[in-house]
Amino acid sequence: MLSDAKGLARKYRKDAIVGSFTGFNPAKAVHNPVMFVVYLSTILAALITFMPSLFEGLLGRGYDFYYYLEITLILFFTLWFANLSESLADAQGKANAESLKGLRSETDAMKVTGSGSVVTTKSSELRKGDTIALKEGDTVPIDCQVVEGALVVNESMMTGESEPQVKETGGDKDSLLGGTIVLSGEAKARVSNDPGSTFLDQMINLVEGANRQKTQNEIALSQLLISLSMMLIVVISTLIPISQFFRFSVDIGALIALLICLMPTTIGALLPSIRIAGVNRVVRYNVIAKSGKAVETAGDLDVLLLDKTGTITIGNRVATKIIAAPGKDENEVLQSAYLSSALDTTPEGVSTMRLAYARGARADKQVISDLKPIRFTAETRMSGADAPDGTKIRKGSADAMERAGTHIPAEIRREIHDASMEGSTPLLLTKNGEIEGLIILQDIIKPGIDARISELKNMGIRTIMVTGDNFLTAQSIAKKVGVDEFRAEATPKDKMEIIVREQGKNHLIAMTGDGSNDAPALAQADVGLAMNSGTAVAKDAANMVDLDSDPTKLIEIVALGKQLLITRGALTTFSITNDVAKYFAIIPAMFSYFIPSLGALNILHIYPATVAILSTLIFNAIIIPLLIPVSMRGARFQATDAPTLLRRNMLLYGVGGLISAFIGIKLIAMLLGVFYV
Amino acid sequence: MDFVAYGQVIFLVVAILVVSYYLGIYMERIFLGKRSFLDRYFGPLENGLYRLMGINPRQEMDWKEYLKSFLLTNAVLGVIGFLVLYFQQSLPLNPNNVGSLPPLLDFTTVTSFLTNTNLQHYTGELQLSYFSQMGFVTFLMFTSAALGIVVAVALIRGIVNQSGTLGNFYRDFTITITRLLLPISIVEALVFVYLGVPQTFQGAVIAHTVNMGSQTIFRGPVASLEAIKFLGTNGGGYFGADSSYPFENPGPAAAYLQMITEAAIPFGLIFTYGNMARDPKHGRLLVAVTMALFLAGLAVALFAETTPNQLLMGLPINQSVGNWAGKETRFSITESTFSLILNTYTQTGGPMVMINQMSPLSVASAMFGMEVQGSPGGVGTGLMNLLIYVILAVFISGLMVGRTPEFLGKKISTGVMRYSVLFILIHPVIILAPVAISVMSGYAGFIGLPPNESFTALLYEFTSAAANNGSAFGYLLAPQNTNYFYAAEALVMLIGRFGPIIIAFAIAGVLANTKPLAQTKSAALVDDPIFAVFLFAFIIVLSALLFLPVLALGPLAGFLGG
Repeated sequence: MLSDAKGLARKYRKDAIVGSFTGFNPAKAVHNPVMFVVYLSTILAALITFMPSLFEGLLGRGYDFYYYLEITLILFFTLWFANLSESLADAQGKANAESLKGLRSETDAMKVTGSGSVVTTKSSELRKGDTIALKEGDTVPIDCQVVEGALVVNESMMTGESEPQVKETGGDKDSLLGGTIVLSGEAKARVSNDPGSTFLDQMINLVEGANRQKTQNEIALSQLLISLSMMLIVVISTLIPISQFFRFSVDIGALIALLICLMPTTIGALLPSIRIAGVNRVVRYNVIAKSGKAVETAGDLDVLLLDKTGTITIGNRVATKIIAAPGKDENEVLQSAYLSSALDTTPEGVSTMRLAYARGARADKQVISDLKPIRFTAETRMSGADAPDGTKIRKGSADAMERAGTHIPAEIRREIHDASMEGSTPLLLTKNGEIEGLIILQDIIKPGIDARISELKNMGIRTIMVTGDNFLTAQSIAKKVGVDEFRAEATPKDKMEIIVREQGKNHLIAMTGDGSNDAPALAQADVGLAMNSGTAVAKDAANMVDLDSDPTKLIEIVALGKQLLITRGALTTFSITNDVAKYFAIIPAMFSYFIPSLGALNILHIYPATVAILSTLIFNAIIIPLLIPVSMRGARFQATDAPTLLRRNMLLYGVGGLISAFIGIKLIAMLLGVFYV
Repeated sequence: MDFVAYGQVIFLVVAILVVSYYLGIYMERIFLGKRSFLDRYFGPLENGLYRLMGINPRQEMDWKEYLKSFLLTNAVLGVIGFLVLYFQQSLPLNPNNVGSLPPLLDFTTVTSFLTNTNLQHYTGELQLSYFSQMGFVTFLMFTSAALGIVVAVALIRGIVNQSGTLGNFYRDFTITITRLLLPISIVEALVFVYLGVPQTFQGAVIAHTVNMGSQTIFRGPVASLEAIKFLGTNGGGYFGADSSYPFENPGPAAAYLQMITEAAIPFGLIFTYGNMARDPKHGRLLVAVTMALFLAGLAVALFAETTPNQLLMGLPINQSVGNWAGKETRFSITESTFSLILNTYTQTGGPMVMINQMSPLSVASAMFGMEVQGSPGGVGTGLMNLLIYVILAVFISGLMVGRTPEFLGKKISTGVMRYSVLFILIHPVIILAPVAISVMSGYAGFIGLPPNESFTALLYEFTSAAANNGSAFGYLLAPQNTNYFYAAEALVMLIGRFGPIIIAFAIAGVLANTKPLAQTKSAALVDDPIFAVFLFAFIIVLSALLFLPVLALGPLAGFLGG
């Protein structure tokens, strides 16, 4: 869907640069208190540069126009870099939004009025609850729900799913997305959202920023940064009278430099872009998060409720074995299996037919067309076909067969048990009530899913698998992939019950779902990820919708949420440990002329003092653009336990921040030294 | 440093850890209200007190009620204290006939003892009656220690409870005195008497010396004060010279007992916290962090006291015995330095040395302890400070592992965060702002020392007042600035005590109403040594960030040679 976003991002880069200058608008700048202090300091530095007479007695050893001009310029660039990081992230978001907006063009809709007549209406004039008529070739004007008829729809522009989707009334496949195209069929649909509040609109709003409030977590971090800045303002401003006590005048330029360097400007500057980029990353995964909070909550999840089908196993079961009952002719059994499934369009049926065909079963077209298909119903729990000669071929689970009066011999029973133990689903094949053989259906476990689940385990996240399968099958699959817990023969009600149970134990739990009967559980879960292929009700109840309808994505979303928080924490730590090196550069520079013994703190050996101050300021400024990629991409997240992660990030961003500042400042000082000799 | 010196440090550290561990378990028992054989002895006394006060000890209080009772109790004690000092001339037990204290000094002194600071601008033996020493100084030493401890207990309950309540203030206050402070103090006072500390109501003795001169030897109810002075991390001496005076600190046995006593409750409460939070490992890690901070400070000071003084380098002086300036020859350099660092890191403030004679680097280390405040800090308030550091460290480290930060299962909300950042804002402001004001107003100009030492004295005084430590650097007062400093210090002590405490109660209130999340493997970060390392680094970097410039201008510049 967003394949063209990269190209658009290039287009928006120009806007980003323009936008970075609008950040100098004081009304906008004041929203980021840490950077607003930089803003005011820049103005102060400019005043000193051009009107030094106002600052008589506060200029240390004398006024030097170029020195103050340099300070002013570096501060200006610090601010600009901060603005740039935000507008770059914004541009990325805009590009994403733009590519989405292309799908939202105004179309004409055929509105069905109360009297049954059809009038042409603009899609923007449709309201929730209106009924519209759709036919081949139409663009679906707005999110709606099929109430009558059936359609085949191309959703690739929204979801990237190239296979045409069947949408029909009843069941779980009734929701139509605005912007998709009807390939065939005719239907009436009820509008499920007012224009402006469709999923598309929600997504556009989120990436465009209308919906981009700070989350609680970001507010808490901002509070910490503001408090730290306020403390440093006190620390620095009290140095003015204190230096007078020592009968020297400290240079106010150095004080401004010290303040700006020590304040957490790095994280302060990058905080907005971390937030924006975090939301953008979710969109890149083709997931609509209804709020930024949902993304952060995802990072906190500690229990995932995984549907076996679709998440752990590839959607459908596949027939892998056909076993003849003792005393039955194998070819005849294969033939029965073939006929039982010839008119069965379910994936299980198709795979049974394929397997039988591959093993040599054949049937005339005429024979097949004479068959009368028997569909699976909840009452009989078996399917099959009736031949014109009265032969009844059935397949179904052992207990369904038993209930229907079929006697199952011990040997078959043992086979059934063995198959169940392996996690396969055995189906009994009968002909006129007599057992012919067994069809073994097997779940195909998604490649790599066991590794993902063990990753989750490392992250401290518990997984619960739910399935409608019987206990043995469920147990075998659970064991194979390593989930912590499973619930066999589960109904949607069970999902709800598990969620309530886990929340009662104060866990944060997520689930995926697509059916209308999943909706209550989706709403109850802390993170409910609805499949886009699911019903409108399910999507309404969830707080995230996956456009690719891939339930495995829940795992990625957890990682995205964590990554967002890690980026914030890592850059905060980096910002703070940088300060240690900055102190060692600036304190001797400020004081050692007056108190020579403090020259001993000049462990970086930077001379003269002005070079030390300027190089520290420059380091402080350029570290912002250097870290923009980290804020946009997010800090790397490894699925390990918390202490390992803390150790790694402490080394990388804490110790790394300390060392890189020492090295960076020294390098810049050496470069500057070339000009100062 | 030699073998003996290491032995002395190791002995003290081990003794402190062992004593505080068991005291921690004992405190947990009394605050959880577990039954014990002591109920039979203390129960009737406590019930009598409850009936006398007309309170129901089982009535749970939310944070506002708890805070209100706390402040009310402080106010009542403050007024009583002021009146006792003001009318001491007319009160009994005044054999030396001392006069009443001037009102401003009275006010500063009351503030000082009410806030557990014990900064003393009077000379005890000359200006206080025996009644004031007992009914005011010793009495407030008990109450201020108990009031500090209940703050910690309330904060722990806030962290642990889900009911929204913090316990009953009056019950906590009463049992802290009856079950913890009084019994230990009584026993310890008797030990001090045995070791030679005076305990008498008789007046001063006039001694006729060998060379026909006469000497007034002051005495009084000293031993009863001495025990609670350390147990409650008060630090205010009976005599002006405090614990360097033989009547307060007669010898090594008394000195060791005092040092172990002053560290017992601050460290013990951390164990108590771990136990009450049902996470003893977390408690032990915090003890390790605070002990590491203390030992780091001690190492710096010991280095300073044992290396030759650079200023004396060229002179024909043998410096191999170490720096004896400011120390009692009755004690070793190691013991004296240990005493200075322990007295500043526990906010007791009654060291057995003259602080201004110590190496400037030791002074810097001592000040750092008062700036950190939570390593381990004073009784109750130390744990309070430590827990705020823990909350902030948990916040940042929690982010770094990708979880919305939580503290023992409770999510750190914006409310907790807002209060926590306000909390840490107070301390640097009430040190640096008064220093700046003293300089700007010119009052600091009357300190009769060279600039560097004057500044160190000024900085030390306000650091000590703000941290409610009470150790004195001296040299500060001149006739022209006495009233200014009395008033300024009183204000700093009050804000330094009650500002953070009020905020801590608010935090306890928010946490008590927070529903905990389930503990999962990844949440148990606070139990991992790596978190302890993070916390240790965080506390040092944060404090250094705030105080390095002034420390550099004051003691560090002094150490490096002015």
